[in-house]
Amino acid sequence: MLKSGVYYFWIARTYPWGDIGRSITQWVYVGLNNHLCPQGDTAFPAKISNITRQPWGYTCSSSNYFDSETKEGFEIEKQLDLVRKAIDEQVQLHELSKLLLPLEEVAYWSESLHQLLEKYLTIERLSYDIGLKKKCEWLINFIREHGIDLHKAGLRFSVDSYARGSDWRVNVKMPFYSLDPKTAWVIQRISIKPKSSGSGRRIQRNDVVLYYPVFKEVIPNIEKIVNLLGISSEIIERWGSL
Amino acid sequence: MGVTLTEQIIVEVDLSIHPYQGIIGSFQTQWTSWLEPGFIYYFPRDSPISYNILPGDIILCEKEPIYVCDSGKVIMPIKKFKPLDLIRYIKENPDVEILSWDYPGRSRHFLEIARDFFRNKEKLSKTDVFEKDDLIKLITSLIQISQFNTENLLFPHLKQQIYNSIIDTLDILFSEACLEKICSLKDDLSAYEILALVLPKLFFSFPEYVTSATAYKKIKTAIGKKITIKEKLTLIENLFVKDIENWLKTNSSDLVNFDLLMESNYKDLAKKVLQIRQEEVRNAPVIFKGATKKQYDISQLRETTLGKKLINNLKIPERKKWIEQEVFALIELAFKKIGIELNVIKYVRPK
Repeated sequence: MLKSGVYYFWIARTYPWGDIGRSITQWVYVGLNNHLCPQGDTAFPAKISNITRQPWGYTCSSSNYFDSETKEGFEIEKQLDLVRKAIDEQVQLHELSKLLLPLEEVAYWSESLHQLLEKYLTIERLSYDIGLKKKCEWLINFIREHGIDLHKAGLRFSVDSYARGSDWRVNVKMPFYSLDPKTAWVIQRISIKPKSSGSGRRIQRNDVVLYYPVFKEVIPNIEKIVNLLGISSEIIERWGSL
Repeated sequence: MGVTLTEQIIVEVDLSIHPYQGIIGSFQTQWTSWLEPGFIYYFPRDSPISYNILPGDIILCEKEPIYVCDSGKVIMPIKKFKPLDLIRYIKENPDVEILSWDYPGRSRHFLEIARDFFRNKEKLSKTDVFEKDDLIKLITSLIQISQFNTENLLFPHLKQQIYNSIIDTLDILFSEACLEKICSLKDDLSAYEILALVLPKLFFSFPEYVTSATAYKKIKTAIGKKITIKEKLTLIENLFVKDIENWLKTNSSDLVNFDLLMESNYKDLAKKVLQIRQEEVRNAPVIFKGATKKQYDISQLRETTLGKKLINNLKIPERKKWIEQEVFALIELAFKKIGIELNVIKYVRPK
């Protein structure tokens, strides 16, 4: 059983490129008191998402929390120097990852490391945004070239009426018959995922923002969906206009 | 002669779920039921070609990754293949590992099938000892290739070129080499297997053809005859062609690859297929009733290969036996354009 105190956690999958940048994702620390302490280690990660309500929708797994007491014996400063140098040179994400893994293993975190990673991530985010723009442009061309029409393919989009807060999602009604391979491939790559139960699919609110130009191309009632989700300002911030 | 470069792999590029470092191409495998890629191969930004890699591209990469984690690898691209370049590479490196994905509904991807074909064909020309198992492998490759179609492919262009290139290699030398191996075999092959190996273009052109027992017996006798390989080949070819003609007369199969037939040595057979199909239509009576507002019974026309095709294209419901004059006029016109006069007969009420 974990003692009460301050624990650090790696927040994996915080950034949109997924696990490839796992070890430079942000850390979060959580102060636990006796009341919040779980009855066993395995029960703990599930509690985390209940008590913190992280805006990025992360669900903790049992493999990524560390007791801060295990820091001792590791040459943190030496490793930090390597990280600093790598960030100055803006090395690639996977290279930086290698250098951060030892720090992750001992659950090290500090304000200076936070600032270093912020600096790195700002540049990386720019590069991600360029890629996202290219991806959307490419997909739109592909959709036009092949005459893909999600509406005609039988997909219907609506927002959950019972959804609230950060859980708002777009519901996608699927036709009974299977989709043609091109349409299926497109919807897979703009993050339309099957629901955990029942038929149909769902799109995360954030994915509508990320792939807005593509959704705009293929969903006739996108304006209504944007209004219901309340994401117009986020779209304008990312894409310049609606 | 090429040497297998086991330190290189060929990757067919997919569209990345998350563009990594601004690069939109990646290769995703092991999709989960949540439609998340289970394992991703990324390209690093340090390669000069990474930013030009797009979905559908076929890339030669270093096999040894520069980074590995639980959910992915970063692999260094070496070059983007042009079609002929890719074919040459596969021929020279028949053991190269290929990571491809664009072949929905099939367990084997076309690039792998093509690689295996070139490997098996290479063995045919280089090896003296060619066992039945080797022939079976070659037949399997040919059967898989014969099933190639671009209908459901997202990126068909390059694969079509590879397919064409394979077809080009199925020449007379290939047929002779195969026949020579068949003659040296102690075991018998089935008619289907002999056709696939000795006359692959005919085999690809008539996927539904079944050899008659009489023809098969004659083909086996021809294989056993003490004549040259060239003579045997001509004999077997004639037997197969004649049997296919007979088969066409009794089977209204519309599964004929005319493009291939027209490009092959069997152009006459293509014309014959058309003649047989036209004759079928001429022999299928269309009965009409009514004087001013005529109605036509197309049930017999529907039983012919060409009639069925046209009627389906006009989206006439399958259960509909009698059709209106306006619709029939379209059918009549379409057949007239290919030189067929329909056999229209007035309905006579049974006494």
